[in-house]
Amino acid sequence: MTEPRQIDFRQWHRLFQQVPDRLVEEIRYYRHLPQAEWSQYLFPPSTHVVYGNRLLRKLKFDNSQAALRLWGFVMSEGERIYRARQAGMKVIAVMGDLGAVTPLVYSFPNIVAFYPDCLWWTPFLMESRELFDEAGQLGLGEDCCFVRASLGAFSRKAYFPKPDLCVGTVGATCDDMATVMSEAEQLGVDIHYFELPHRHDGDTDKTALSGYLENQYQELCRRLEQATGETFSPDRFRETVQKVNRMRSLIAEIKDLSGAPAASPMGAVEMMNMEFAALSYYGDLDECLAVLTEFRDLMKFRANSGQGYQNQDLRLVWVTPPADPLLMNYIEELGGRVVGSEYLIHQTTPIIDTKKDPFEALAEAHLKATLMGSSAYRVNLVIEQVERTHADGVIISGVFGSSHCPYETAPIISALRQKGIPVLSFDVVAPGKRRLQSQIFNRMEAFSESLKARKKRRAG
Amino acid sequence: MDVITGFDRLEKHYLASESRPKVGYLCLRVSPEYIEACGADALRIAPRPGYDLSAFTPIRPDGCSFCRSVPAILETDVYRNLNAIIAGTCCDQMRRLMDTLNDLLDIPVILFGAPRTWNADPDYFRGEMIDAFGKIEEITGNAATETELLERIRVHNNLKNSVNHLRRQEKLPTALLQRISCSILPPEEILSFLSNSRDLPAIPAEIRLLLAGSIPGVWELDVIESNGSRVVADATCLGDRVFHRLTSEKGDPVQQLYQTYVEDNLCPHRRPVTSTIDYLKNLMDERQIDGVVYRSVKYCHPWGLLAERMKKELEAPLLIVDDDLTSPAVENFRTRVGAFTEMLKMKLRRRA
Ligand code: SF4
Ligand code: SF4
Repeated sequence: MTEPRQIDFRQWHRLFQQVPDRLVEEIRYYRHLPQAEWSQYLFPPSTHVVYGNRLLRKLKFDNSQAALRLWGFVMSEGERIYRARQAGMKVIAVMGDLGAVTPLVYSFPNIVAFYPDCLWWTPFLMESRELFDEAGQLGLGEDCCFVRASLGAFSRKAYFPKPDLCVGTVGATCDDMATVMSEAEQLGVDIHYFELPHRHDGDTDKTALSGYLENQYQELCRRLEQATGETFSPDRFRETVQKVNRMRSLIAEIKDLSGAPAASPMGAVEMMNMEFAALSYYGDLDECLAVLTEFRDLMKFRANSGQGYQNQDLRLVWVTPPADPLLMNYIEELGGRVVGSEYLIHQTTPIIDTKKDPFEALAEAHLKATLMGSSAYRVNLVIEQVERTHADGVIISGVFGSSHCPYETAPIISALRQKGIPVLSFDVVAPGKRRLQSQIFNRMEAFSESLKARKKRRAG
Repeated sequence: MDVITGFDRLEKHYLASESRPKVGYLCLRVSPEYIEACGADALRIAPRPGYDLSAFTPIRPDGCSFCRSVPAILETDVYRNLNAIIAGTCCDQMRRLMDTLNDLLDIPVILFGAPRTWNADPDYFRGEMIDAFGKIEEITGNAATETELLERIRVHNNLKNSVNHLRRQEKLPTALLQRISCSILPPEEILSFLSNSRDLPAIPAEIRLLLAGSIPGVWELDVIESNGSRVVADATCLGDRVFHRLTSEKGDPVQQLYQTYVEDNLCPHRRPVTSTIDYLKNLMDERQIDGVVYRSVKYCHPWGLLAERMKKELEAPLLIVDDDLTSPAVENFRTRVGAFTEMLKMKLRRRA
């Protein structure tokens, strides 16, 4: 295996010549469908640049085949959803729950789920404000989180096929997505609402709350039965959940490996893409498992053999996913490595109990959701990550105008400061705002310098 | 003495003499009847004259500007010595504001889950509401009996009927309506105040406006009504919406209060939002509205981000303005509202 390095899209273009054709043909999604060229996805990042993802020209990528496969799998999701529709599969848009209800959706046959929410990084990848402008015309401007891009996508009708069913979680989750939902309704989208009640951390009657969620899942199940014309099968559910659990364990294992003591075995952007696989499995659960398994094997090899990137010694926990992945590359260039994260998706981490009643098991897992409870719950998740990974510092990349960041940021910072953990907090800026972006870069530089000095002092 | 000054004086007098525990509540999902039945005075938390615009708030500037103002609002005289604060989960920011208050204050801050969707399982959410009021009962040492609850429902219904009647007759100015909505005065006192003021003349209005949007601040209404226009319908969080739904006096009073305040709540954070929009449309028809001033506070998601949709749905001249309760832009507001009402006047003249 080659020495781990971060390379740019041109270098990948050249390196890709060495990938055997056989492998390119072999790596494909929807393996249950007859072999077809369109289902191949192992391509260098330059291919995706051609489709408009211009930011890839500026990003750094891990030089392994496993990471390339992950990138290819992530970048082909949009196309895959269209293929699913062509192949007669049911397409379900899921919003606002970030990975909690998808195990149920995938337990129906011939179905695929996707999150319009995830289009929030599309304007960054495309270096284009088109989706934001479209959302702006429909009333969602800069005082709404970047997820407003998904409203632009609903309106443009060119980013995903018309879903057979939209499931929108509202309640104890962010209001930005709830607003996107109501605007999408105005565009004629029919939404099945899933009510997520507030979790009182500390004194909630967890049994009652779980019971309530069970009913929500049962109702959703009925809606899925209607949408698919299929009857819910507990056996199929168990089979699906076993795969989901395998994926969740893989993700946890990979996250642990990313903190390998010797050197950083993987790039932060790849790690984020890997973690977000837990949401809707990028539209193909089986293939996603294969992608992550190869990724885990590589990480294990690197971690066990002490291999990793040079000169990235500052151990960081990243809080709230940055819609702009360039920021992660930037901190890596400054000597940082991301060893832990709190990306608002804690609901995708519990192992779902396959011995319990399906709806009870789903409800129980859902109770771990990040945004469902108090800010203190999230503060604890961050602290847990910091302590588990022995982080030197924390970066919070906030979302301006979101319904939670303005409230949570202060308690997170104060809890970290009390523990003596340095923290840098900023809001990600929309594409095209160069001056603001450079201010963030300056702050990152200052932060990394101070962390380095601190480390040196501590080492005596 | 004008009616507003009279009302303010009455409230001040009551505050000086009150001896019962005082419970502050946020938003329309809390039943004041229930608080009163627990033996406390219910006091809606809303902007009051004199709150310190520059006071420290731990909420970032991109948080809802009402939420950001609440810590300063709680410092004003009316809210001194609160024994507890209670709210239902309405918008996400309100939910998080309660977290912030919990960290800041030494009094119990009680939050109960309330559904965003319609016809959500009442057993669960009613349980949430009952548990929350159970905590108020503990604080006051007074259990809300069925008899007491029914009595409070009856009195509040009387007040609502009276307010609605006067509003339809256009004898109750919006400024007074908003005062009543967040007053600590028990409904009995307000009713007697209103009946003593029955000779209120109908308010002439050249331009008839609907004011919709987030919770009003302390000066906007005066500005809006300063040049010949009248807010004859108020769909803000302190307006006609507070009084429109009567509570059934039959059956289990807790269930009936749940129905009125939790299930039937008409705020724009409910999904789908169509019922709220229909309410506004009906109000506009009923009060024969010439135009709508749609004012949201800065970074209020439920109202602010719904503005464009409202513009399309309400099919009436509509002015969208937003207003930062922590840094008011009065002149800008005045200019925009002034231009809007001038436009409406011209339109009416042309039509005439
Ligand atoms: S970042 Fe926060 S506000 Fe934005 S969509 Fe995600 S959860 Fe919602
Ligand atoms: S409804 Fe608007 S004004 Fe009221 S608390 Fe929520 S965000 Fe703030």
